[in-house]
Amino acid sequence: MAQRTEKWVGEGVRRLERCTTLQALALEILRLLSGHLPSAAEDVEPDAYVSAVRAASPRSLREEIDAAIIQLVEQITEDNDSIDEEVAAETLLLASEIFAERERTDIYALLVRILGRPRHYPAAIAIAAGQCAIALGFRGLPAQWRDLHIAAGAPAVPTVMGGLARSDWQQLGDWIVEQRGEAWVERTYINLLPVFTAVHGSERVRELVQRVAPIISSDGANEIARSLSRLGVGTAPTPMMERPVVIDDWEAAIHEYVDDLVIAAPPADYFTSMFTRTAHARRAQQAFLAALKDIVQPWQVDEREAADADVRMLRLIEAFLPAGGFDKAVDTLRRHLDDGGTDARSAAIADAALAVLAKTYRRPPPRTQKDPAFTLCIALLHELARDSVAGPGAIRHLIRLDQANFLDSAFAAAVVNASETIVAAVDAAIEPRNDQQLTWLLNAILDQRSAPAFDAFLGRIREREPYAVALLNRITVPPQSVLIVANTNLREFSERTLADRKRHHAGYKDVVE
Amino acid sequence: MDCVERTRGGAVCATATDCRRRGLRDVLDSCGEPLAEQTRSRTRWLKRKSGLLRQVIDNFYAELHLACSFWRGFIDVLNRGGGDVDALCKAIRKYVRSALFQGPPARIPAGVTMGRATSRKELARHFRRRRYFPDLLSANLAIDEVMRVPVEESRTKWGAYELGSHVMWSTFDPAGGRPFAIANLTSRLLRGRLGLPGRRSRYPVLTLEYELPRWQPAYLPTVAEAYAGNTWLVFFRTSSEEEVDSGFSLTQPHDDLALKHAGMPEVVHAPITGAALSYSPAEID
Repeated sequence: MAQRTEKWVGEGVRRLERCTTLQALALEILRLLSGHLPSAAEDVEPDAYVSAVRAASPRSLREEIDAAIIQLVEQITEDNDSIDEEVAAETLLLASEIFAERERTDIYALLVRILGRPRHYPAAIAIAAGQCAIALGFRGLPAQWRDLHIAAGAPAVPTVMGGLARSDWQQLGDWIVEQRGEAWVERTYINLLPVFTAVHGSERVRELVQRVAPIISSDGANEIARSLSRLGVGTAPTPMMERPVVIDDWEAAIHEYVDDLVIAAPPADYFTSMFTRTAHARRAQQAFLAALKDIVQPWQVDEREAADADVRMLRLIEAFLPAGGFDKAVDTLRRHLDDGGTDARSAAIADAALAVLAKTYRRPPPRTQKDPAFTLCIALLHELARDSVAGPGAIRHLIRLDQANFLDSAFAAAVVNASETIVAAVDAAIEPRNDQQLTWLLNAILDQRSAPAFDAFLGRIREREPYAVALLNRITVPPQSVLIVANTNLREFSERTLADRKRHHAGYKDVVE
Repeated sequence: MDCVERTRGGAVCATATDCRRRGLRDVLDSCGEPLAEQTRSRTRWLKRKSGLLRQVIDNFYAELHLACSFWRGFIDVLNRGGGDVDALCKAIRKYVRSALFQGPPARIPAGVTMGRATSRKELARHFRRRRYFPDLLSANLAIDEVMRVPVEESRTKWGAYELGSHVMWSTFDPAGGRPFAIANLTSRLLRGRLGLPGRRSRYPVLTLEYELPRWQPAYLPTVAEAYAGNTWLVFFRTSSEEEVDSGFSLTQPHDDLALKHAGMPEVVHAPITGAALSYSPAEID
């Protein structure tokens, strides 16, 4: 079945690929939507078939299909006789699926033309335009939805209600009351309560129910009460929600988070919960990211202020990685190197900025040499490795990116210089496991002939036992005769590890001292 | 073109119900060589276009339960179309939609529960297409809600909603039980036994169980119902005389199940509303 479907969809792709002009492509799509599917068609409605063909098309063709559908919608908008009413409605519903969750002002503009004068179009087209607008997250004006009802009559009631709910919640209540208990309006209102609750929240639904209660029949009121009880919406007022459902001013919300130290939630959790409470989570997130980008652009660490706000801003950047956020973290770390701060404030800021770098590059990009930002990041981390405050974090990140060069004597010396950096290096090399880096680290410690460094190394290894040391099955320490972990018999090794390590430790102390 | 009966010396069939039902072959035999040959040539041409079309044409030839007036119109549509296969398929679809429910009447035990199997996605899209809901989210949430509430409330909620378009295909238990009360029934098995689309789909099947209103007649399915939808059914076969005698047709199971499982009873009728629901909709995994 899957293979047959793919073959069949492939036939549709080839059919669209043969079209040499956008006009021809639009016509072909229209033919498909009219039910002229390839002859081997099975198991699918025309609009679902066109969606499948679009999804299977190469990117260039997909973009052309999108353009052709826009052109078809434009044709429906301009000349409502040229396309069969049913096919036009199918085209609009297809557009709603294709362009859902995407910012397309061009299709909004076309839909507005239909919704702006719905009387000029057949009811099916006007309603489908309304459904498409709702699916695309377009709010419209309350007057447009009211006009749609006047023009298309009862069949438009569900769409008008859905549109008004998005456009102006208050007007939805007004409109329902104006219909004076008309049965179809009441039925639709009751049937849409679950979606109203899911999208607008229980508090607003409770207010709406109270507002329209006078015009609802007694049977309807009973059904609403049962429905609300199932949906978990109480009849008594509930405490105010933590956040408004509609957030127009994301910049204010971001500033509030950064400045209000009482908000303890991590930024990702805090703002994600806000997105989910809005009517359109994805759109809210896009608006938030645009606002964050605008805030980050002029932002820099304010040395006169306490570190908290700067740290929170960097945590916010780490969580959402807005455009320009990486550059700000690099600037912050450069300033840290220039200032040479060693206090707690500097450490906290440097740590947060390093976290941004770590989030940006969790692993090396595919072509490291062609990524100037990555090259810049690695050079900066090498510089930071020598820093007493940011050093451990920088080394940890370098090892995780497999970019620590212990053959560079200056770098090796910087790592071996302090027990904190050694501990960080051991941690980073053990999890995730990097035998090569561990071996190099050990060799660098031996080369430096530093007993405290060796103690720190073995001490950290000991702390990670049994799991970490048990995995150290490939590390040999010169001279060749000394083997820290035997690969061949881990059980035997684990039984005698303490005694062996003590002996080896003593032996190394002799060697290095 | 003349009536088949008249060419045989009988009276002209005034209406479809009066007609002595005949197959396409009989009608072609009676309509004169040039038109018959042209029609046969057109069907041969269509059969060469795809496997599905071969099956469709074979089914048209195998159909014996439609009035000759239907075949006269069909031959006209077939010969009027040009060389565009898609256009011809659309013309056939349009024609058969105008000739629904002309098959033999079905005999269904009184008060039996009828069952329609579909998918949540299809039902949500149907509700949106019929403009009962502004978008798919609303339709899906409404389906969720109706599955949780007592059936009396389901009837109220969906009382005005038609549960299908053009034609509703329905199964039932001739012994009077619930149609989907079958031991160890899975969505895949049910799809297979009913010959539904999505042979390898793992999605649940949504079942709608209802009582056919007394005024609503049901019929044995014919090619007219099978090819009225935008999607032409792959797993459809015409009813046999035995099935006509028993009062219902049998579904054609998917190939991999055909040897192990018999088809389930099936009839067609005009769409009914949610007011006829006997049980709340449910999903079979």
